[in-house]
Amino acid sequence: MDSYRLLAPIFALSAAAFLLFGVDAWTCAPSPGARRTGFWLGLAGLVSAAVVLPPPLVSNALFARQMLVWDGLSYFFSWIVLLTLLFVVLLSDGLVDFKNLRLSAYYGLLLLAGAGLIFLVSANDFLMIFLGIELFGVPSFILAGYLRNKERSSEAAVKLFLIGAFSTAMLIYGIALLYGITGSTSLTQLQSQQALLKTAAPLGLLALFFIIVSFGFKMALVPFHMWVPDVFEGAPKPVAALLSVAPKVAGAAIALRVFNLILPESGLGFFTTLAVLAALTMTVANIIGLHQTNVVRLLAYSSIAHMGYLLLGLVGGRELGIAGVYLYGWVYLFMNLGAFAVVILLSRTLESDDLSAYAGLARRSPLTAALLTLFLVSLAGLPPTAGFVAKFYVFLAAFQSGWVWLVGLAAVNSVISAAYYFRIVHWMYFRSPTSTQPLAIGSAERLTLAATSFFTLFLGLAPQFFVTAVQALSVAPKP
Amino acid sequence: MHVLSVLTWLPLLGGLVILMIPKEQKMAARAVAALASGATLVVSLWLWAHFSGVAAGFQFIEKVAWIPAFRIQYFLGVDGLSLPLLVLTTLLSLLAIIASFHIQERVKEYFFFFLLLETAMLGVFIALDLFLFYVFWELTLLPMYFLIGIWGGPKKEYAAIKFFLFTLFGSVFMLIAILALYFQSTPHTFDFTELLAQNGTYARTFQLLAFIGLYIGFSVKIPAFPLHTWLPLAHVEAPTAVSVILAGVLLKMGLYGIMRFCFTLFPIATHTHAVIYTIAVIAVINIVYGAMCAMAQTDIKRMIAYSSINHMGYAMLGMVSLSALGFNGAVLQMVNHGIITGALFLLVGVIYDRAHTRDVGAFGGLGAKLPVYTGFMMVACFASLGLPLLAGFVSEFLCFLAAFQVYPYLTAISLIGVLITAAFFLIMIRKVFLGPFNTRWESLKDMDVRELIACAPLLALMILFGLFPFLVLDPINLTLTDLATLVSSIKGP
Repeated sequence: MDSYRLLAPIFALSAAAFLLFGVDAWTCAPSPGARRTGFWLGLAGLVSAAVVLPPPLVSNALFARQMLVWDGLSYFFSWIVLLTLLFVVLLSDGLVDFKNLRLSAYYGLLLLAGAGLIFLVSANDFLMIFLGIELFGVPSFILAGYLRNKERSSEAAVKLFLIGAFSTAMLIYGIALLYGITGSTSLTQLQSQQALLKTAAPLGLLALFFIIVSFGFKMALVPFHMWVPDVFEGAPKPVAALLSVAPKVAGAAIALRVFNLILPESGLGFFTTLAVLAALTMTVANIIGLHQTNVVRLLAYSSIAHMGYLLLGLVGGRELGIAGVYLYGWVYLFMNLGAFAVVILLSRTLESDDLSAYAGLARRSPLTAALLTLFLVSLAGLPPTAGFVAKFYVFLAAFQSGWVWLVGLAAVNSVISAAYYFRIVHWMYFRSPTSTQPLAIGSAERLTLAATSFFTLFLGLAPQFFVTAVQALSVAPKP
Repeated sequence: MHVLSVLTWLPLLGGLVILMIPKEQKMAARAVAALASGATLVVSLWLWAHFSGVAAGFQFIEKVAWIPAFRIQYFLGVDGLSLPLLVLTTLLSLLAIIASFHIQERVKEYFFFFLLLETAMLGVFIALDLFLFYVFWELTLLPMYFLIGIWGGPKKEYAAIKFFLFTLFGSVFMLIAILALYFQSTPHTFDFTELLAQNGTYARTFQLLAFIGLYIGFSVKIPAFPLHTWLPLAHVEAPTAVSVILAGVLLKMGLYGIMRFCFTLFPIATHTHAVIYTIAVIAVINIVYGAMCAMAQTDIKRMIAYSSINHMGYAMLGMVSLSALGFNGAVLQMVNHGIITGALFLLVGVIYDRAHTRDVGAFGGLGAKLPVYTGFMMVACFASLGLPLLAGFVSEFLCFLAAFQVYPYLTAISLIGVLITAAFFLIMIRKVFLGPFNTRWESLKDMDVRELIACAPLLALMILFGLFPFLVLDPINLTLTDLATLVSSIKGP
């Protein structure tokens, strides 16, 4: 297929983004009208990108001088990126924090960040991986600092920037080493020269180490997670929602491509490293999560822990593990954004993210409380929700490859995480409300909640259709 | 005919209807709840009537592919092991719902959670696919968590999360054992009957580990020492009707699971002396330690909660004899304990609603003031302590008889538990109902109609099953004899 056709979604997103920047430049003062224009243009950009998203190529998926690849993995994770952005745009509408700000550029930056992530998941060359990460990273730290009058927001932006710069430096160093060993930055080349990596053992391992570390920062694995809670708390909440899903899942996707598709049989033993990272990530995040009293920080630690579970799919490898990462990413998208949607709409009315503000929510707004409970139950991985199916899938994958201790640890972690997820439920259902004023839910929020809760429940009750689809997409195309 | 599906999902259907009723219409919510659980009881009685006690294997089987990618099925079936527990569940659910009619707070939610719980419990007893079983098993947690946490006593919140996390922790081991079973079988499956057919191929180490994994998950629910500490708290803090379900049904899920899955799937592990002897010792600890703890309590509800640990010990002891007699005794003991302890919790609820205390020492001489209540309470206590001609005696006798043949010394030790049980019930009766009347309770009223309706059927069953235990034993005997044969025929790889 024509390269330009395959790049169409990235063109669509970038074009809409630049249009939005133009609109922003011509808007004199923030007004409701201008905000709506930005909102609708942002939505239009996303929808057009989704419409032109080409189906995955079954064979010979490389294009653009082998720099990019459009296989099931690129296709699937592009959908996750686009859906995340869609929900984030919907949730940005009507945010109180945004009242006196011009928002067109905000939506433009969101789309540009999305384009970066699509680049990332369809990269077949380390240069493209670098480009994708940067194209996402630069807009994302501006987005984190978008609330110019809030110190926490600026702090979040600086943290994100410094961490981003640091992890990119690591990545480049890793790439340079790889280039030194194999003479190329292409993943295809790397695949055919796996043996070289092993013969150049210390150097090859060092290169992979740097690459794992930089991916670890993107996916916020422990011990590279410190930035997450502060950034989530300071950034505008929809941006926190974006950061909790899109870059992490895209990071997992590219790690999947590099480690499971390109280097599965190199014998370099990095699966053990990944297993240790997974164990550390979930355990540390869940134990710290137990002590949180701010719901956003709690969700931040929860999102760290979930990357630990997702790594089980990577570690498990083989068909089951690869499909497991797909499934986990997809399910995580809905349950986590659903939880964020409720938190965003509550923080508007309650004007607080503290756990105690959620007291008696079940009586004030039974539906909202029930929905948040559904998302939390799913995040805790209890049946009959999607979260259970996803966890079961990655557990199965890791178990199949003999990582029994890791599965056991992950299961114990689910119990620990249930303790803090249910603290929110506890406040909502067991405490008395301080006010009986009903909650106002906007129509964009309604749409988000309907879609996320539908998938969270439906994928738990009838996962078959989706499991089949994921298994079909996760088969690597023939070269 | 999808009678098992109807049975399982009918309560949930009622629960969904209740959600659509406006909040103010409390009577309507109660009526729908009673109607739904009543209809479920009728279905289960129909099942009892049409169940063949002479046909081996599972009956009323339903098997539909659910997640074909992993060969996971929606697979339901009933045999003599699950049938009495099903009827027990539906009966206790209906009575508990009737007993909860006086609840005024958040009525809609209460009955929704109750009916959801009933669906989950029924599902546990009839699911024959391990994945499905696990889903139902976990599904019992959520509604129970809310029922204790919202409508419970002073320490309800702590009790709710403790119950929740304990069971969840047990489930972790269960889940890993289930995953291991899946990969151990060829072709990989969660289907219980297929796994059973292959149990001869499982290696010894695997059997031991998987047995222990499942056992930990189940023993939390029994609750077997040392994982029992959630029980006194949960039972005491839960509202009356929920205590009834907790003691009457949820505790049975543990023993049911061990008999259904552990003993059959892992014959070598079951016949490993160290394993089965450990469980026998745990049963004795449950009996003696549970009884001693009960003896030490001054709160009547707490006393009954500990007596549950003691009574489940009897059933465990009968079960580890691995004989048809012992299995019969264990299942009968489960049914009887459900009926007796259900009644005891209801009756304690009656007095607590009036006096707002459950302290043994606070009462005295109630016998003359509340004749009906006293009569009920005495019958239930006597049944619980194992007086002949009442239900408890037969099943305890069977359990001891079976256990004595295998573990004479352990059985002898556990008889101490019987003595202590008799002692604490008699002391309680003396302090509360006999002696000089405490004038503080001058205005106490006897049981009202709602309470009589909730308690009378259980009393009747205690006497009926005491006189005619074959009513329960006949339909279950064949299955349990087959089970004993299956367990005793060791197949090695």
